[in-house]
Amino acid sequence: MAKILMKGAEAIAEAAIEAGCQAYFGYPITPQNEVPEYFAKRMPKLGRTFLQAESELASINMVYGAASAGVRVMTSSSSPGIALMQEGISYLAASRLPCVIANFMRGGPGLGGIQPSQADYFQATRGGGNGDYYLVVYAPATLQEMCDLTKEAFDVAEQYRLPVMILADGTLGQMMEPVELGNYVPRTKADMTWAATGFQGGKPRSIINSLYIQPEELEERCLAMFDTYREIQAHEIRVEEFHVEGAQLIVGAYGTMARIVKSVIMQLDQAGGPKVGLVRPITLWPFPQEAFAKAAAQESVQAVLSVEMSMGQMVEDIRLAVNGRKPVSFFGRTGGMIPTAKEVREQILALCNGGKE
Amino acid sequence: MKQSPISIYTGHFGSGKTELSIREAVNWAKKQKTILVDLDIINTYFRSEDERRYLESHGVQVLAPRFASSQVDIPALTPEIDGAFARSDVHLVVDVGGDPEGARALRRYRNQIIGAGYTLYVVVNLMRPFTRSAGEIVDMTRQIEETSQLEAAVLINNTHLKEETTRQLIMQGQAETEKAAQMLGLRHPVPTCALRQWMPEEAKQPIILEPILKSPWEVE
Repeated sequence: MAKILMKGAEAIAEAAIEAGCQAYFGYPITPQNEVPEYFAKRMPKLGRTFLQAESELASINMVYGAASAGVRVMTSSSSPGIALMQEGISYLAASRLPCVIANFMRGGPGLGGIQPSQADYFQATRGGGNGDYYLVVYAPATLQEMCDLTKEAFDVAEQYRLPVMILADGTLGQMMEPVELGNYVPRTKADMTWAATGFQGGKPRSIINSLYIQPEELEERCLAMFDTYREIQAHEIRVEEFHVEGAQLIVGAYGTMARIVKSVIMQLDQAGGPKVGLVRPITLWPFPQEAFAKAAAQESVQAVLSVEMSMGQMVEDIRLAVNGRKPVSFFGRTGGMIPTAKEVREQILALCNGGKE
Repeated sequence: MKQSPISIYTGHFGSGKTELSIREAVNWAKKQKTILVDLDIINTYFRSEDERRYLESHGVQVLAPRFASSQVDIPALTPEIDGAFARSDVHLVVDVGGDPEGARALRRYRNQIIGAGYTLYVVVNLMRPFTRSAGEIVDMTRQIEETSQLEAAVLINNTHLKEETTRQLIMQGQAETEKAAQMLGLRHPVPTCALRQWMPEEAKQPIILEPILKSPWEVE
């Protein structure tokens, strides 16, 4: 299929439709209102379900219901709305239900603002809800990548039976780029016999539940979930490395921020400036620890810098990965402010020239 | 063609109407006092103080929803906008929010607009969802007319795919937009707009604009 010009919020919806998403439940919030709008226009024509719920809490519980029946289902929101969904997300993870959740992050905490942010990294990667669980978290940097990852997210969710999050920001929701759709190559269809689809004259009972009063039983379920997480860590880590080999400084950045860092690296290259590499996690969980550890271990590398649209969240994972072998510092802006190319360049040059932490 | 005192730009979001209305306002300001009325209650997201400074430095007065530049997402329309529609000594360029829903804001000013005389432009990008064919362009135009209770006069072909725009795509957009104009009984051939430095030779009424809105990784 030829390319068309899509707004990020529309592109993610169309990608989900292509991946066979049968139901979308959501509640409007800036900067991703075009997601429900687009689904509202398209889903009825396809004989699929669009429903505007009365709140985010209702949306995520509708997702729980549809996922229990083995239906490909999705919701989306922005930071404060995703915060409201956390109870449901923890229940989905505990009940081992596949679904896709998109967060177009905006400035926080609280109701915050409507401009782009990356301050929900902790919430997404550390489990915003209660208990021992993880989500697979994808961080696209372009609209094409967001479309491709969204389609894959449905497959990954079913393969491992867990909720998958697309962690984008307001810029990716609102900007426009040409995207190519219609190129979805699904993974092997996962076993869905666990789904509660009716007795059908003798099917074994499907019990979808997150309440286990016996601690032994609950521990056993958690251990099984962590077996799955280890499998995901072994097979699903995604990372892009750019100009990393022989670099003097390694910058870690994801999503929109990584695009700005990349344009700075290219400017520095053209101007004959210091050699700087970018490690861009595409999966925030599982985190590409090894890529950071290896990049930082190079003899040429003097320091590592994390650049984020937050007060510094991913920097903690980078510090764990680098494990004290090189100094790791942070630069970011928050509240909906985006670090400019000029600011990022100044930070990079200061580190390269002074090597200061 | 006789120029009406009010130019209204509508279209699906992403059609390029904001860029176009900014540039047209600057052109008008060279001839007479011009006010750009930002009626975009749909999307206040990429509107910035930079654009306001650009317009004001080119002699255009800007009227935008209150709180717009403070980024509070309350789509309120200021009393100053009522004042602007009542004036007869200025040219008004009106940038209307995306798709038919955005045209709702126009309805409030309908009587003043009809009284003063207006030209309603519908900006089309064939590469956008929901305006992928002449039939869809006609549907969208009719919905805008119905919501605003005003009549479209001119379709503008602004077909593009950002950096991946080709001559072929522009002319494909041209053909569909002209077909839509014929189906609607509107003026054709339709003008072709380009937010870049080049234009296919066969374009009959070219409008070439320097793009001023940029992504964070394109700005210094």
